[in-house]
Amino acid sequence: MQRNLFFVFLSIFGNQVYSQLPQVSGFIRDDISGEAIQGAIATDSSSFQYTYSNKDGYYNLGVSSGKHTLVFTAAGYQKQRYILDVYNSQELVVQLKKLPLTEADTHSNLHSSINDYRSGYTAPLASQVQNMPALLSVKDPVKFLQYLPGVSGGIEGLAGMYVRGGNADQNLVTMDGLPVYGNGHIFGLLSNFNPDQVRDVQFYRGVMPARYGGRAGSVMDVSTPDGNQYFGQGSFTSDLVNLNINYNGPLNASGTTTASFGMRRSWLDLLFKRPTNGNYLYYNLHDFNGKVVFRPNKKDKIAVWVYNGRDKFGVQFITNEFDSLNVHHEGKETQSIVWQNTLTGVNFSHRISDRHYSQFLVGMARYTYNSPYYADGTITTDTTIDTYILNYKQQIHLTDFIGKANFEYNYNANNSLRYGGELISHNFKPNTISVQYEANNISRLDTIFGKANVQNASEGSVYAEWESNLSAGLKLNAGARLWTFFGKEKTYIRPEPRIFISQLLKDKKALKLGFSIANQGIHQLGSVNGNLPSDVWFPTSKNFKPQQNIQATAGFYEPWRKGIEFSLDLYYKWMNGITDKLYSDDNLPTYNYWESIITQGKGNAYGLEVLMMKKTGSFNGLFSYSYSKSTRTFADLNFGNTFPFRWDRRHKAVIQGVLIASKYVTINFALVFMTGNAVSVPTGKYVTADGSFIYDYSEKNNYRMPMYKRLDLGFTKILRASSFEKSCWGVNVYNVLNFKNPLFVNLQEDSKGKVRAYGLSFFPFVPSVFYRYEF
Amino acid sequence: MAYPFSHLFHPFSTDMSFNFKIITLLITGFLLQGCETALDISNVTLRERIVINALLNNKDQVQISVSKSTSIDNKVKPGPLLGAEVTITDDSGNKITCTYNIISEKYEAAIVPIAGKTYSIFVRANGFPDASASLSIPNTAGTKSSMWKDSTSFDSSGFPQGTLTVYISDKKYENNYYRLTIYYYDNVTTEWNVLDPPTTDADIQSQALKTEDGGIVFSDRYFNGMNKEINFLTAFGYGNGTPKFLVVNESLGEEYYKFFKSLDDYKKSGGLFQEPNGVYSNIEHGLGIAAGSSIQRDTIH
Repeated sequence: MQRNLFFVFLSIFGNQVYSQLPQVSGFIRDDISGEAIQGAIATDSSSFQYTYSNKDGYYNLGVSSGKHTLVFTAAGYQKQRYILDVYNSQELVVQLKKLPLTEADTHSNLHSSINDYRSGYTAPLASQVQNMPALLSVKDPVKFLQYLPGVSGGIEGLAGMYVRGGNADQNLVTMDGLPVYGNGHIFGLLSNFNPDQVRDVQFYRGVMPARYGGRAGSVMDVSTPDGNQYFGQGSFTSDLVNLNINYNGPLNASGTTTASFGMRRSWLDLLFKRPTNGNYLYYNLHDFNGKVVFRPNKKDKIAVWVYNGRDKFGVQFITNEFDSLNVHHEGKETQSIVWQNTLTGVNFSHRISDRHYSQFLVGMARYTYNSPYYADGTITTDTTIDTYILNYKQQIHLTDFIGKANFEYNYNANNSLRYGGELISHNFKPNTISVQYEANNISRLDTIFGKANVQNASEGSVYAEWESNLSAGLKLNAGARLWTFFGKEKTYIRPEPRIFISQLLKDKKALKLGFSIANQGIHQLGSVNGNLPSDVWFPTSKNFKPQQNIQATAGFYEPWRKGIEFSLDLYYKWMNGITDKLYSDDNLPTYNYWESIITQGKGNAYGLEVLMMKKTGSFNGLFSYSYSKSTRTFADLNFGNTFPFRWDRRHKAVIQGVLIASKYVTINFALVFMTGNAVSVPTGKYVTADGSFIYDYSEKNNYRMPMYKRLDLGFTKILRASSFEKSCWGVNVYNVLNFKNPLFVNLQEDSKGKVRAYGLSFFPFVPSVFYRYEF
Repeated sequence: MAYPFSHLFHPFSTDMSFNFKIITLLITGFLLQGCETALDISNVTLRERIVINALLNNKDQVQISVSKSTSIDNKVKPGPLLGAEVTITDDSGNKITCTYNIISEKYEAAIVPIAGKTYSIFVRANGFPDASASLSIPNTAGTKSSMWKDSTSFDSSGFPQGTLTVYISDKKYENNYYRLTIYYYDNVTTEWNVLDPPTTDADIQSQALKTEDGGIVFSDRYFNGMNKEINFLTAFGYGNGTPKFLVVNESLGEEYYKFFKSLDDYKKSGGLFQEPNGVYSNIEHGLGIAAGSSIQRDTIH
């Protein structure tokens, strides 16, 4: 122990003399677009010291004076070698060339497998998402993550995520650092992420570093593109749901100002006419990403960006009829459901010195759900005319104002420090209902209900991560976060240790250990069975405790031949303050209504995950398998007995592949097997207080659905490919073998009075087509 | 005005687009259709549980029904559990043993619960774990008496109809729940019959749950802390002779409301995202409901 402490001490302070050594620093970028490459690796071949580039592509490597061979690489890119005579600190901007898709990535993959301390971490390439077979041909990064071990997608076809047995509200999903709320478009069929507006995705399904906080489970950290610095480029995609148009490029000749824009819009509703005075039903969605980036000098970068995604569903009914008593009813009713996500932020990055880098973010994230209903009309008899107007509007909002500051300081080649903090102000409007009712031009009701639940809460945290190469092959990231939640009635302060240790073993194998505690101050109604746009978020209070996950992980990593990354992870997770519904209810605008319909309890999850992934190559893809068990224990549910989580899948195996058959033809497939999900079926029948004879559903999730199986196939044909443009079309077939994968149980009595159970399944054999043009 | 090519852009608006409409609907239906597969649930074992139902109020003596659950295939409602030990204890510690009444088929105690007090129920029956529950009798809403007026308006056929008005003084800063049941006295049969008159109150129309015995249950979500006046229309015919109405206005405990709300949800359950919903129960080691209410009865002549 003393010896280890000595080494730790030595590694920090013993290298002080080296801290004044020359630094090679700069940015690592894509050679065609100039986009920053996050997670690129810079290695000094002589000392085997290495570092990673940050979100802005910035890296900083301390080297001794003399001649050095520096190697730069990143997943999906060709490695690049520089031979430098280094006597003073110097800047080196590196531009990496993308690997041809047919070529296997053997270098970065080797590096990340054995040197990256993070276990349960995946950063899929954009090409992996673009080449996946997809339901309705809509590519979606969230649905790609569903292929990974330990990730359950929830309801079939939806972009849900239940990671390592956690609830859906435990996922921290961010776009350029701001949280994304809501379940996406078309009631969750598509996520909020336009795949053409995703530069990179960092996904932590296990222990998350101290820089992340506010959610107890996983992290999906999405960065959007800054825009091509050299020339304009764009794409147009049409699939069964959307038209998707994207453009990015420089705004000035020097390329110091760039912009990126993307817009998706559903097109089916454009075919339907909406008469002003007739019945109609419509649905449309759009999302828009816009970002402008200024680089006033080599040290600074300012990015201003906005995202807006909206879904709108509406109906109108017109009445104009006489009833049997010759009374004339004339009127109009319209109802719509609109949910919308708006994020806007300003990001300022500043290089304080060669060793010290800072990033600041100020932004707003707002999720709104509105359901207005309007009715007016007249009722005319021979002698009277009655008029009425009813205006009813339900509103659910959550608005966050966020400020973050992150710093990275490279003390020396073996030690670096990340530190920072964040402040979030939440404004919750969990459910307000405004009603205006007028009869015969006299106001009968004009008020807003549920105002008492409108409240503010805030959370603040500071963190520090110390990253060190303690000895050859032994890497440590020891961090801690001090999390504070200022609720309306109570303040919670909790420390969150986060530790990663990785040890290089013989023959390029690595062992990675992790431990974390993470807390969460906001909760979502209905995050267990599957989210709806109307599921409200509500804050921790005196009676409602924060959620807390404690997780320990161990992983074995080994790079295999031809760029295949193999990993085996074990985890155990203790969950406290986890939520489930006691019973279903409307979102009553009564005071703290969620406290009476939601209960808190404990959960446990453990499992084994195997992942083999090949990101590039003429045949690339992944194989994943997970054995997992996730249970819940609530005093108020299932008679206090432990029961399986709704999306507990004991076994899950996925084989996903992309075969680049020729220069013009790509074939892809995904084969998914999973243990059936757990559902509740009645164990008896009883008589209630009002004499009804009803089923006893008091045992939770006591039945397993049959095994889930699905094969998806896709085919892409490139029509034209030149250095200036590319066009292709493709076909995707979801569930090509038409497997029936029931999700819900429906009970029916047969003719003999015996109760039969039927499983309700969706999405049998769904073919779709798409067309894409890039320039 | 019809534009020359409008049918191309809005094919649903013209008859020419009929085939297109059918094809689109078929494709959409095909994509989203639900399929049913028979499931074998024979491995789900029957759990016989004790069932306790105790809806107590401040006007009637204590009656507690004790039964058990049965197989899901059973169409016959299980009868009462005989020989159970049933006790009720108030918050002062006074414990009374209930006796089985063969006529009502319930366990009864010769006490009337008092508003504002809390009671604990304990049931011991052979073959079942001891079950218990507690309930509170809420205070009455303190409302003024209900009123009825004849010929306040005319129905669509021109016949005069009456208005029955019920008053509720809701307490502020707390969630309150109510149940209203209206009866009409039939002079011919000399019986009180449940009346189910329509209300003109948009709030009550939108949220009220109907109970099996003809009452309605609702919360104060739209009139918290206010004096609420609820009007019901009584049809022509009830104004003849000497009409007599009985309004039973109950203030419900939260458990009471949860039970009715979850029962209503259970009966309406279905839909893409809806899990089967158990009916709310607050019986420890058993099923059923123990809940309290305070009753105000207004008889209107």
